[in-house]
Amino acid sequence: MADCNYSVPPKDISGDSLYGTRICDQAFIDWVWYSYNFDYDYWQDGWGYDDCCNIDKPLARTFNALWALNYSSDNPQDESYDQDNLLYWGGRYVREKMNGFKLRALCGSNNTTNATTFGAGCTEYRNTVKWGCTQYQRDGYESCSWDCCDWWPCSWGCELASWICKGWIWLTTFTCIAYGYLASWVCTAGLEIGNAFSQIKRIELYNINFFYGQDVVQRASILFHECRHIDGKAHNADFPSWASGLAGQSGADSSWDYQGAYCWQVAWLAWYWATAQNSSPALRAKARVSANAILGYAFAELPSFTI
Amino acid sequence: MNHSILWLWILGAAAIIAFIIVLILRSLKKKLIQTVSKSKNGLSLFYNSDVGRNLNILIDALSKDLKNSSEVLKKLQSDPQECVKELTYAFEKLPESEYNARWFMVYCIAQFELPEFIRPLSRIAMSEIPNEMSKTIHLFSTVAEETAIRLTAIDGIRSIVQKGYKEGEIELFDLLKSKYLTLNIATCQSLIAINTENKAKIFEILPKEKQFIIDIRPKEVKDITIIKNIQEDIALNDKYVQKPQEGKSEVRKFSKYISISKPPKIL
Repeated sequence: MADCNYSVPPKDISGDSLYGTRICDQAFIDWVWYSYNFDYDYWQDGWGYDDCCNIDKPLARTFNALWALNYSSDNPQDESYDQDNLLYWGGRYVREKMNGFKLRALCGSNNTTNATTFGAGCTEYRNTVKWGCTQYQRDGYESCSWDCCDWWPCSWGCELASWICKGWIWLTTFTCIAYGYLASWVCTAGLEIGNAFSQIKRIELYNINFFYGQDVVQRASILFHECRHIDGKAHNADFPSWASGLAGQSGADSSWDYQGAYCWQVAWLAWYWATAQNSSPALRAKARVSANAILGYAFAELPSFTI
Repeated sequence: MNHSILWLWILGAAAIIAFIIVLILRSLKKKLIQTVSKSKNGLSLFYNSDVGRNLNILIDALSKDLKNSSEVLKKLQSDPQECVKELTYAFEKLPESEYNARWFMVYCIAQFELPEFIRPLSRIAMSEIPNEMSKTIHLFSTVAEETAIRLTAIDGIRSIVQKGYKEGEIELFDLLKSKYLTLNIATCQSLIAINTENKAKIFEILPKEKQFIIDIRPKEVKDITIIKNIQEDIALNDKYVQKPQEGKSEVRKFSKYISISKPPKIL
């Protein structure tokens, strides 16, 4: 008896029929399996290893997402980070960030989870500390810039005090960032030791939701989102009051400027909507509304634009 | 001599302990690996009527960007009442958790750009968003999925109005009263896209605390700022494998019954 089950929703609607014809190419299968670190053991027993062109099964549906991630630009062989269009380098970015991370398929504890990344905590911690420190620095500089009196010697004294205050803020910010780096190095060393014994660094994709609750484009954007976490961007805020039903829970990004996982996911979806090749109008339209839905709930400070 | 025997004992004990640990780890790993199986096939969406069959063709065409989509749509537009009935029935019949399929039904309805579809779209856009079902919000929110469905309904009403069926404008003004901010923003943008002079009326209708949304405008994708502070992974260069050229190698025909390929066995 299987640990979990799935039913297959209409494959035309999810985009799996469209992409499914492209993945069944041995050169692509060999390359994608190797480049994205699929964990062999975790794709057996119904997950699709022995039937990897069957888009009813989780493995082929993951291949579909990776195909969309790699071949949606008008020149898939150009993966330069110099390109503004994220579709050019999205696949490469995910590949590079997943270096050392294994990709696994699991049942998941409930039906509403998509994916989780393990082992990204150290870089996330460093960047969270760094972000906190720079916010502290910005606020500190502002609080040190007071209106000075315009008569001597008061004006001089005031200026001097302001400079001392700013100097103190600079020094404490520097210490704060240095602490973040040091802590993350210690953390990374511990993580690597732990990883040698048991595979800590991994991305888990969950049945039912990742494979059957999301369309191909959403799946691709989720992988992109997860890799932004590996890049060191944790969610750093609570969901805002206008995010119905989610308000007050942790897991949002503070603002667009934070350039977190939701921000990059929205940007990828936006480029997909505007420029994706080998797609359909329906999938592109869905990418746009998905991006706008994320903009509407996942940022503590509401972005001043939509897609 | 005694020392060497003692060392041999220690080595032997260490080897046995290591062997047991490996066994435990292997069985633990086996426990971690889960199995999955297919329980049932998805449901069929439409009746086996002419309209139902054509709607299935339309879905196929829209989802695969086939050339015949406008032709099928034209054919279906000759019987809008029946299409409204079929599509709204399919929308309501679908389980709440089939967000993609429900979204696609709304997308299909929006493609018709006929006045008969204003009411169903408006009903969908106005409907209450069910409570959040997701227990772990990270990456998946049922509220966001429901919002995407309603955003598409609003887009649909806008394109009908832009075709000249002004009655949809009233529905959009009504939608400004929705309690959901994201829907208010989309409605606001739709009304301004229809006619910039709608701004004054929008301002009147929106409660004071929501009036700032008038300034939230759609952005061109090229103007979306991403700060690329990407560290290229040098370590990856050692294991770099060239991405296969799309369509260069023979693309075999997809078959859901026969497994053609298998990934390499890399542990």
